[in-house]
Amino acid sequence: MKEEIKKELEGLSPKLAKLQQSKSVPKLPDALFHNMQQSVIQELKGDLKTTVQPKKKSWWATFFKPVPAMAFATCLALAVAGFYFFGEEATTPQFVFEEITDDEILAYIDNNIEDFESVSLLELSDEEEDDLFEGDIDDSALDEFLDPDDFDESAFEQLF
Amino acid sequence: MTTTAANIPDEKILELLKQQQASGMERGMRMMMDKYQSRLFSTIYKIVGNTEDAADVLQNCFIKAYRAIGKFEQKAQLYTWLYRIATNESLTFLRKKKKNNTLGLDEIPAIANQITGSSTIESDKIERLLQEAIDSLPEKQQMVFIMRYYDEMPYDDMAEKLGTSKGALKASFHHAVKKVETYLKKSDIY
Repeated sequence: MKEEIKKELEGLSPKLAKLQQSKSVPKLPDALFHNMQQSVIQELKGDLKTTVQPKKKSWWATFFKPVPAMAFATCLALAVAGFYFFGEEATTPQFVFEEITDDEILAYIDNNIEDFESVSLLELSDEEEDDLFEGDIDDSALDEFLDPDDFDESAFEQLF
Repeated sequence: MTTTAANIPDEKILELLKQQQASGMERGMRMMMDKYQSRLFSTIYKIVGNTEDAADVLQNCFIKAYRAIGKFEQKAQLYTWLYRIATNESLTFLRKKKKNNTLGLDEIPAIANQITGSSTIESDKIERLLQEAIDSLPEKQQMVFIMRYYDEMPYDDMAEKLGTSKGALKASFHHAVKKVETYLKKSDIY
């Protein structure tokens, strides 16, 4: 077969035929093939590491995954609902009492005294007394306040 | 019966390589290299002209083959595909070498000196001219020329590998030889 190729080439280009004879291939030592295989495997393992390694995603990309997105939406809904129900309740009384004066409150109590429980009224009066006796009161003021002419005997008897 | 590298079916090799896993890749690559490295080395050596460069080109050839394995459509034989990569890599290597002008005196085939009766430097120039001439051929003609001129492949084998008729391959080779000769004749050395 090689003779056939040689003849064909000599017929086409004698000089090229002569040049072609120079190409005898030496046998490559097994060790060289072994080393080459090792180098190829090492390089390709490096390739696989870089391709298999997942890309580092931006932190906000997490919100677009189904489970975290659902969790985030639920938390948000609960926070809004909580603010609506509990937040409003907590702020409303403060808002109302800021607009009503003390006189208006007392007038309301006088007009609707039947609606209030006696315990609540006593607590209110205690608070007012505490307010009254805050600070030192001198004896002359007390004497003036407790003038015996102002009390009748029957009232004292009822008290004791 | 023992299984030698030559008996391993290409389908098995491709299956392992396409897994894209380290273990499969290593097994598949070793099978492929054991099966084809000697034949490919021989082809590359004939083009690049020395052992060290041929080994480097062969290494690049296998690396490129693995990286492009997804593009291999199995219409051609695995060897034919590797052969194309090997010849392309060899020619690319020569192109780069020509640019860098690093061909050493020890790399020049001594026989070229004897045949042409010219000096070592002239032999070097002829080798380079031959490489340039091959490089100037269309891709398909390059393949045909390398298979026939360097690998001394019978037309029947070439027809099977390239999926072209014997007559078309014969005509292609004749055209390629004439073009190479014309290219070389432009030089005073040839």
